[in-house]
Amino acid sequence: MIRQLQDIWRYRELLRELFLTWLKLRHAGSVLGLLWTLLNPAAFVFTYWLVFTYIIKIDIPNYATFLIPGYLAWNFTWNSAQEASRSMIESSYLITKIAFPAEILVLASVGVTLFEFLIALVLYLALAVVLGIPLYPVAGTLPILLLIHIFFTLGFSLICACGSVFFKDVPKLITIAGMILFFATPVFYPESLIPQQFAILFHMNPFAPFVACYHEVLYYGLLPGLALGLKVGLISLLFLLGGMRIFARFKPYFAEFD
Amino acid sequence: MLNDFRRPEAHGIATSPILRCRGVRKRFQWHDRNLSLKKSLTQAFKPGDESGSWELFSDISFEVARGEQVGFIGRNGSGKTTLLRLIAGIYPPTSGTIEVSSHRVLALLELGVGFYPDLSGKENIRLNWVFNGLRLAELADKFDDIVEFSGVRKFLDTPLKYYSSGMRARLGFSIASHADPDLLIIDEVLAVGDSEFQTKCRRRIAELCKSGTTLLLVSHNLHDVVEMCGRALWIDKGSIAYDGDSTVAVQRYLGNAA
Repeated sequence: MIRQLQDIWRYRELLRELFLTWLKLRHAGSVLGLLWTLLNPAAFVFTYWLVFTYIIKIDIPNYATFLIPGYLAWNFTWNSAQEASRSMIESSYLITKIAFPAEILVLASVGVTLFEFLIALVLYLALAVVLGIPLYPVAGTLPILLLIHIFFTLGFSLICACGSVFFKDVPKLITIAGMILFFATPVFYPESLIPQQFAILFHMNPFAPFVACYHEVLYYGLLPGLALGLKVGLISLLFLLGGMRIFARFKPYFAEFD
Repeated sequence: MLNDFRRPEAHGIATSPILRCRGVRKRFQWHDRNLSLKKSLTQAFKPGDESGSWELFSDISFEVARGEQVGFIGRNGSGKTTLLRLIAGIYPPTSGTIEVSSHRVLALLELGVGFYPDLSGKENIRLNWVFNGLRLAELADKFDDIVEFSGVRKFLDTPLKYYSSGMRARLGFSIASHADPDLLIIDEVLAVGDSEFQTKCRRRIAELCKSGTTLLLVSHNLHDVVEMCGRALWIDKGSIAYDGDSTVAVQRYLGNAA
């Protein structure tokens, strides 16, 4: 693990250059450029807001302010996993020709989606201030929550990326799993709507506590309880360490497989 | 350097070998795309399982002293390229050890790997430099030499997709050869480009060798091997058939082929 971190550190300049390159190339050639990263979630939020405010009248005041933080957080995690997997497959020819720590590809992918997530989040917070949507002092704990969430996403992306090298089905699986889990996780509805008989599934879902934290901090204005805090911390640590171990274990065989 | 099987000692005494291969054995695994999921799962998670695999070589041992130039000759498929990839750290050996006692190892297994067609020549030089694990601070001093040697100065701001394949190859070689590697690994890349560029490359390699760079060269151009390397290894049927003076090695190899 220490050797793995040393290798990554030695290639930190590659990480930075790759991050900047991908950021630049991502929207190169499209008229709206970086705006696309905002248009996607904006269109989604608008549609859901319309449906759940006027058609399925959900009992949540200011529904959009409930939906947005959790949805952005959700998007960050799944976009990262998808981007990381895609970049591993796309860069397979590099892995067979240049000796560099492949973790860099995952880190740079997560970096790009993180950048987009942060832009959207900051914009939302700014908008909230302008529109007079209440932000509670507990929002100051957001950086800590972000950090724990980033570690979790990194671990999850490392596992997905590693799997994608060996099984080309993994990226497709991630898309489907993301869709199903999106409905199974209280992102656009509150936890309280989950029927008792499904509560166990909710408690087993590793994504749910992270979204719940964002709801607590940015919507309800409450500090996440000790149990919830411990849960996200533990899941995050488990995924990060597990992801790094799995990646290190199978990394030597990446070049052979491609 | 990157993986656990390569343990670089810190820059040791000048007389210690830069490369030490001991009992290197390499076995490749079939990766049948049509395997059932169950079978491919069990295979992927049992890298030690040797069914459906073939052995490229079983016991390769040799040392290379600092500043030595060594050629590798042999038929197609004899494992020369794989051996270079093992030394470069792209694959792990199935068993045996490969020790490279330098961090400045540069493997030219293909020219222009890691180039992004949408980036300009200038941006690609930066990115390629860091892909090889080199510091950007060093690039500042070398940048002009790289551009001068490659002869693409007029097109520095042009996206690489508009470069001819010759220009791309020149740029790739120019970057690598200005990295001042301790150990330069070249696999057949001199075959590209026009004769003027090839002459230039040979001269550049000779310069590097004179200044103390260790060279490992795979080439089917036996004239190159004799010209650039004092020593050559003839790899035949998975083992070293001859290790010694390059002229003798080439004679034996040709004698065997006749």
